[in-house]
Amino acid sequence: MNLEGRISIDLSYPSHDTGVVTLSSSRPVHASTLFEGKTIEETLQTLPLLFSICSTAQACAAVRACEQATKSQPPTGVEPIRQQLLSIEMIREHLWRILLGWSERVGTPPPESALAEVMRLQQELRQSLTAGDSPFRIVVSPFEPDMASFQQAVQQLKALLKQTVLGVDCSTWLQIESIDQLHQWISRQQGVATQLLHKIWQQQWHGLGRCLIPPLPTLEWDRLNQALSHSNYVEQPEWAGEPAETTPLTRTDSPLLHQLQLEYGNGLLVRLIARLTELAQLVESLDQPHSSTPSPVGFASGESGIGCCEAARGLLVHRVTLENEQIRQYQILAPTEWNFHPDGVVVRALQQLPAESPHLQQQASLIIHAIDPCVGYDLTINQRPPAH
Amino acid sequence: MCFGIPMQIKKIDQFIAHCEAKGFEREVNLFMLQYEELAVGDYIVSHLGQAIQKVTAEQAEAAWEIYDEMNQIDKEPPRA
Repeated sequence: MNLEGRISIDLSYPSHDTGVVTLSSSRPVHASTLFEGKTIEETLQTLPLLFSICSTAQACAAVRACEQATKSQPPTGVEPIRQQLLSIEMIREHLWRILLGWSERVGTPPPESALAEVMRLQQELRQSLTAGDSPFRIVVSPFEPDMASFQQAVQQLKALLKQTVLGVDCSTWLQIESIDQLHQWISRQQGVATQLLHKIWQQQWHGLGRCLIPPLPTLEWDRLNQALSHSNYVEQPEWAGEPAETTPLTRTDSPLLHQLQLEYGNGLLVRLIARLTELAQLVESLDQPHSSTPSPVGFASGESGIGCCEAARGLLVHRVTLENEQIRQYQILAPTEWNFHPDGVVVRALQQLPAESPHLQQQASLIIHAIDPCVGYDLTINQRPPAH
Repeated sequence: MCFGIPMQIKKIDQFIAHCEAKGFEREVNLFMLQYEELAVGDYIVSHLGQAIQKVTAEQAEAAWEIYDEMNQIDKEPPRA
C-alpha cells in the first residue's frame, strides 16, 4: 500500500566528476480529478481529509479557488484568520523538520516531549482562533477569536522555541545580521538546530549543493491559467521554459540571509538558515496579525478560479473549473512538483556534489531533507571507486 | 500528493501503535499525539511513520472511500 507515492533519486558518476542525477516520482498528482462531478461543498469538506499533511494550506487554496470561480468573497475578518492558520501549520511543519529531521541528521534522539508540545499548542492556537469552526468554506460567519487564549498559547510557543531550538528569544535571534554573529550563536548554543549547523560549519559544507536555478517569480495569473489548461502541466511544471524553485529560501528575506547568499548562494547552510528565519519570523508575526501585507490569493477567468497560498514547502496552487455548480475540472499544483522536477533544484544541487567525497550519502540526504519532499524517497548512489 | 493515511489502532505498545487499514499493517509512532487519548480501535492519520492526527471512524471511512476512488482514477491516464 503506497498511495502517497515515492520519489526515486539516482546519483551516479559514469565518466566524469559531475554527477548525473535521475529523478522520478510516483506521486499521484492527478488525484484531485476525483473531485470532478462533485459539488463545491462536498469537495471543500473531503479535500482536507485526503490531503491531510498540509491540510490547512490545501483547504485554503481550495476555498480561494472556489471563491474565485463563484465570484464570491469571504466576510471581513475571515482572510486574516485563514492567514493565521496557515502560519500555524507552517510553524508546525518547520518545527517537525527541525526537531525530528535535524536531530536524526546528527544522530541524536528527537526531543519527543517538545514535539508533543508543538502538536498540543497547534491545537490550542487553532481552537482559540476558530472554536472548532472552519473558515475554509464558501459562506462562513464572522469569527470571534479568543485572543486571550491565543496570546497565551503564542507565549508558550515562543518559550518552546527559545528553550528547544534557538536558545534565545525569536526577536533576539532575528537580530543576527552577520555571518560572524551567526557563527557565535552556533558556537554558544547546544540545541537541536545548532548541533546540525555546527557540524555543517566544521565540515565546511556551507555552500554544499550550490546551484543555479531561478526562484519561482510572482506568477502572472493569465499565464498560469493558460499553463494549467494542459492537465499534464502539474506533473513537471516549468515557468518561462525552465524549472523554478519554490521553498522557504525563495520567499524569506533578512539581512543575515542576504549576507549568506552573497557568500554561499543557495547552498546547504543558507537553506537551513532560511527555514530557521522563516520559523522565527512566523512566530513573531503571530503577535501582529495585521502587520503583513496580504498577497494576491486568487484569480478568476470565466468559470475557472485559481486559488493559492504559501505552504510549508512552497507555493500551493489549486484551479477549479465549474459547470452547472458542479466541478468539471480540479487541479493541484504542489511545491514538490517544482522542487523535485527531473531538472529542478534538487537535481541541480545533487549534481554539484563532488564525486570523490567520502560523505556522499550524507551530503545528498542533507540536501534532499533541506529542500524537503512531502513523501518518502529512495536515494541510490553509484559512486566511482577512488582513483589509485 | 501529501496524503496522510487513516489507520485503525490494533495494539498499543508504549508509544508504538500497530495499525491496520485495508488489510495492510504498519507500526506508527504515537509520541506526537500525547495530548490525545488514544486506545485500541481508534483511528489515526499516519505520515512517514508518525501519527499526526486522531480522526473519527466516520472521517476515516470517508477518506478511504476517496482513496478507493482515487486508486481507480490513478490507473487511468489523465485527459489531454
